Amino acid sequence: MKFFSGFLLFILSLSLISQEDWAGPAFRDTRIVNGHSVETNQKGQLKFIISHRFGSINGGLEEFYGLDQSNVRLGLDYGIIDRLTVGVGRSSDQKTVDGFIKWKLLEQNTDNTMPINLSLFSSAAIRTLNIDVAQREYPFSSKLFYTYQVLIARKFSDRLSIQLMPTLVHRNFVQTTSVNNDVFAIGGASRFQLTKTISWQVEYYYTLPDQLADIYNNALSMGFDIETKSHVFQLHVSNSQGMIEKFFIGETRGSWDDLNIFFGFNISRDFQLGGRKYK
Amino acid sequence: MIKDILLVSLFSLFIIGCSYENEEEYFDETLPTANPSDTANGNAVTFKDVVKPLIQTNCVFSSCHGAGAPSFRGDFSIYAGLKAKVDNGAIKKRVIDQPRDMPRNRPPLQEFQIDQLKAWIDEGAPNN
Repeated sequence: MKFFSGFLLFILSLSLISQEDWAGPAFRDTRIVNGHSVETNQKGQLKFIISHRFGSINGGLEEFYGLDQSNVRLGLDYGIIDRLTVGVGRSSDQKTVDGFIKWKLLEQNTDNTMPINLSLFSSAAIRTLNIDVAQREYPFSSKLFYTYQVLIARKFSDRLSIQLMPTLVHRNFVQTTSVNNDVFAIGGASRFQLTKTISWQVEYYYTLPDQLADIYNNALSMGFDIETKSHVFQLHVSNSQGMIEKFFIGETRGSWDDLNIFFGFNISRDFQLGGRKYK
Repeated sequence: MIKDILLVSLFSLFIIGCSYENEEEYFDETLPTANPSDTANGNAVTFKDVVKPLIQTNCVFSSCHGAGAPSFRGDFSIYAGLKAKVDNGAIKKRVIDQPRDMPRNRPPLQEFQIDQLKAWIDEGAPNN
């Protein structure tokens, strides 16, 4: 706790020197594929995000390559101020409700006095699905999961941006003593702009070794972003069906080796509720 | 600066509520579990002593295959509900064969449990 507060204050002091000549957004949307990008909403901007992940592609024609099944997350993100976004969402997976706060502390400058964008991200998720063993009474805290991330991105050119995401996922309640409550991971992501409106994005979360059982894999996701005036369409494939950190870090069971991967999309629609009009 | 301090406080809210617990230590009582040596020693795997406890602790939850679950999902709190899913191949396809996507949201079954389930199904999934 002390470390966390100290770290925040350190970053705060850095933020005072990086206020002008913004280099522009490193990513086009606030999501890369499953995870968050360094970007935040503008002040007063409300973003409604519909995310789908279908079933496994290797289900074949019988399962229509996964399209018969679907996981959904509906989310609302709101920009309180230009650099601070809060959001809530509800995933059908484990009937999970999540809330997050994302705070952009540093913005990259054109003259490179500040070479990176940096955001802090924190989220909490509550599993409302009852998967408790019937004979037992579980504490409420057993349903809670937390995520803390530092999102560090650099826009190398108008075409290429790269992001790093050191991440901690905390599970309050795990099944056995041999399973860690905390899972540490490092994410890496990139955006490559193909045309004016289409970009190619890759996102990978590497879970540090000896933390998870063998059946869980690292999440690798990739896909296209298609941007219109007030929509962003993201089409992608991933070996994770989950759309929040708790799922794709630590609970990814899909595997690229046997094409146990999932097609999915995110559609976001922006509404301007306050602050300045669209740019 | 006041705004920044407020933000730090807001962030700190997300830390409150963290705890470090696990199911093994939290509950003193042990649930009925199947004996791992049953299949290895060639003992018959019975529904009552082996399969039922295994299903009870891994599948029979109110949101999943608990009492009253619709037939397309399967009510595994009763033998008939489980048998129907054995007969249509769903248990073999989703629990025994790879990739094992069940039990979902719970830790995966151990190999000896898979072997027991398989042995019981190979015997015709009797209600013994």
